[in-house]
Amino acid sequence: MQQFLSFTASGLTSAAIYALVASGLVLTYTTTGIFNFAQGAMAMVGAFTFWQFAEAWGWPAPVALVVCIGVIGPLQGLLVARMFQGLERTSDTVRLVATLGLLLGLIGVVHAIWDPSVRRSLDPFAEGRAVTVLDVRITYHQLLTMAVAVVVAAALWVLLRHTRTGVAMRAAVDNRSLATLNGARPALAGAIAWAIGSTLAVVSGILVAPTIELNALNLALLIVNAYGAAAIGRLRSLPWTFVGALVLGLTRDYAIWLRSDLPASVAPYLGGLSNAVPAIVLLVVLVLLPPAQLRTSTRAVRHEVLPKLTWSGTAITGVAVVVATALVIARLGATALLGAAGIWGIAIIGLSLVPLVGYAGQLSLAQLSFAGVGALAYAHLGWNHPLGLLWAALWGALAAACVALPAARLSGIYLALASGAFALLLEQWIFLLPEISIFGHPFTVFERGTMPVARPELLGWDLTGDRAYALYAAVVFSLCLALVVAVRRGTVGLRFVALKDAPAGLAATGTDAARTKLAAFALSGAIAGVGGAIAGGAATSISADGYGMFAGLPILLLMVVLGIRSPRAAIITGLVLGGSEVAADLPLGPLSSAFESGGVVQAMLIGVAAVAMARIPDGLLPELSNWARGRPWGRSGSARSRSVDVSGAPELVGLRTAATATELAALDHAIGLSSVRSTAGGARARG
Amino acid sequence: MIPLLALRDVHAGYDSIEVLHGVSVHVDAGEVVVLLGANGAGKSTLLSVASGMLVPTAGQLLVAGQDLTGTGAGDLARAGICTVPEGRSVFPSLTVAEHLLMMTHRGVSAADVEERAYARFPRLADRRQQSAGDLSGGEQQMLALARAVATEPSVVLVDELSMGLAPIIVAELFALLRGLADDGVAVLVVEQMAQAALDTADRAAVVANGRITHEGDPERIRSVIADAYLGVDPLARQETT
Repeated sequence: MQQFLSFTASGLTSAAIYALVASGLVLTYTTTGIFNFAQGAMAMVGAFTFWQFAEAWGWPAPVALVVCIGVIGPLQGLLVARMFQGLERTSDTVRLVATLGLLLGLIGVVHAIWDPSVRRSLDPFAEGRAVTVLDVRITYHQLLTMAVAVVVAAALWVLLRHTRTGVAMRAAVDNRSLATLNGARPALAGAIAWAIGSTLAVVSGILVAPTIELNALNLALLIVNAYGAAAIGRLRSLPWTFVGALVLGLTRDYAIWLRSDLPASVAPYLGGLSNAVPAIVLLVVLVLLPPAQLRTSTRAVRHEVLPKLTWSGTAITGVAVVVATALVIARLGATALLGAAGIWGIAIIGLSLVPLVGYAGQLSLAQLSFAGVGALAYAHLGWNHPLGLLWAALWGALAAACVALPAARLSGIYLALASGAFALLLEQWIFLLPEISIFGHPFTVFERGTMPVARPELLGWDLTGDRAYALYAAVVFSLCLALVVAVRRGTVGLRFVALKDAPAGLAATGTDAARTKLAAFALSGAIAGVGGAIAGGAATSISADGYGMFAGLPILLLMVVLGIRSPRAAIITGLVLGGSEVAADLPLGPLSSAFESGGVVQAMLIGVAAVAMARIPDGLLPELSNWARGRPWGRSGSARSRSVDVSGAPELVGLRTAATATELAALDHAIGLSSVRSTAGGARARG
Repeated sequence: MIPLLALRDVHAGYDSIEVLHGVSVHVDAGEVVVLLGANGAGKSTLLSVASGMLVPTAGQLLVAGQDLTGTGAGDLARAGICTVPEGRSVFPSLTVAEHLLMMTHRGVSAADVEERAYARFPRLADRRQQSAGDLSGGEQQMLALARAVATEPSVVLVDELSMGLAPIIVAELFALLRGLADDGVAVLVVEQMAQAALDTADRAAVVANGRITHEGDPERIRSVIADAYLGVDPLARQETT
């Protein structure tokens, strides 16, 4: 009983942190329509600046607290509001990527300022002091955390329900232009929401930091757990978000308690499950919640550019990829060669996003997990023949179908969250399972943490050497590129595009939207699986920690930044994210730091580029090709240039320019209208 | 007398497409002016210019003689131009009471707004805590028009008042606009359902292909609308050539 109570107390503290973070999420989402994946990163900034003030500079804690909450929090929020201006009118994908970019960018900034190799920690408030309730010791810090959550809950409720500012903030999301007509200032409302959201993040960061090590990634990721709470509140209801936080906090801490009491026979299998509780809650909530009032991409008013793909262009690109690879690897040293094939593995995973995210408009944060499943299947198969890639493709497709089936009716941000939860589940539980027995056959997901991956042999041609394998990887990439182009040019591709643009229209043509979505996921998962297998072969081994959700984010970000509807963007994605060894061997000078994988420069560059998406929603490559054709900044203009948002479709007269009366008469005559009109005129004259 | 609202030789459009090619309209205090015309004639664009949602490429927007061209829609709303856009112009996730709280932007207190709105539309009082998304079409239109009733505007712009509503409700709502005008408000209504609108109007104009083709008293307009709805009026064309 006492254990139960003490886990309840710690669960309530976790719940308070989740509630703070999730209410910030809900606030910015209900007022700007942007789901802020960087909420955790903002908390991280708060914790680090507080550490800087209070620990490094020795300011008194209250002063540091006031500066962090009163200045850093709102300032950070206002900066973000400024950066994200214009983002409301872009697609779900662009909005998602902008905040993911902010997440990576902020981690990059924090790493640049505070050397991640130095250990830092924050002391809890009123350290050592505690009260004892029913024999359970509750620290002042825990009490403070819970009290702050309750106060914030009440204050937010009053703001959003009972003040004009708060109601106007919510109105702006429902209908921005109508809110303007009601005398509201949507831009100001958005800025206030960001400032409050950021301040809440800073508060939660400062409160949570003493319980864990002050580590940028830990802080940014810990907050992912709060997504489940926001999902229970359906991203809009604050009371339900707080209920969600309670459910999540208590479930997680009870799971930790139960884990310690598990019998030894099952403990290794279910042990990892307790870590994955927030992901499981998120997945279950998303699948079970009624889909009512889901906000989808219908508010996006921009027309998205879909680049045309020709077979001749594809052939040239494919051949160029292989020839360039052959030329470059001939001059690379041994270390650089190791990385050369990996470039194409990542490029294929990037390519797998094109049909799914680019054409079908379905968001997936689990792409690297699909790749991981493919790589695992390929490694377990152990068949050193290129056809083994089909096995990897099959398993990648199955994994993707596992996301698509339960999430069939989800779209937009909800689908992204569901796929992210799936990725976390794999990463935190499935990939870490010890040996299991399937129908009497022992099976280990990852043997001793890593699995060797065999490189193939084809018709007596040995592809196990680094040079040969890199060339083989380039050929496989070109084949995948051809597959994507074939899909885009065929009926399937048209269905994917229709699924994004007009799901109802797709249904009207007799095509099942759910099945089309499943097909898009399966195809994408299959390509990702091949990419995973190729990347695994490049490294000759795979490990469980290489396929997490966050490890996959840079691929998605870079693809969207470059142009998610341009298959060629995958080449650059592969080069940037997989090319660090190769770049180090080439005379690139200071440029090579951009290729340092996981490096600060790269994280910041990708972050900045992603945040700039509000200005170039179609991506860099389509924008550049427009520019090269003398149409700077797009056919339909950047999202920002449409500063006037007119409610309803513009009524057009059908003529591009004003016609003179003579021209109109000629037109009437040409279409045989003049006789009808004169008859009508005559009838009236008689009447 | 200086008209409360006047558009002078307005040219406006979207991107590179010009929709309005030099339109002039004015509405005096106490007057209901109805704009008629077929789909795509440019009526709603004209209303967008008047409400400040669309900045004209040329021409002027005058409010009580003051040039307010280029002023933002929010500022015009606070200055007393009340726009009721086409369709169900409510916020689906806000309750009726929260809608009324939004209507305090002109300085009328929340209590006064509620009192006036409920006095005019008692049905809204019963729906006080319901989300606007759950109201019937007629109730939603009433809620949208409550803004015109409760915020003491000087100009009321209404786009397609009758859209999707039963004729009996439409008649009720037009009577409401008439009442507002009788209190000294300038009312500009854009309509496709011509008959009901013309019964209420003091003056009417026909818009076709981005121009005003006819203007005058409702009875005269009633006789030409058949042509106006078929497209460009041959008589109007003769006048311009």
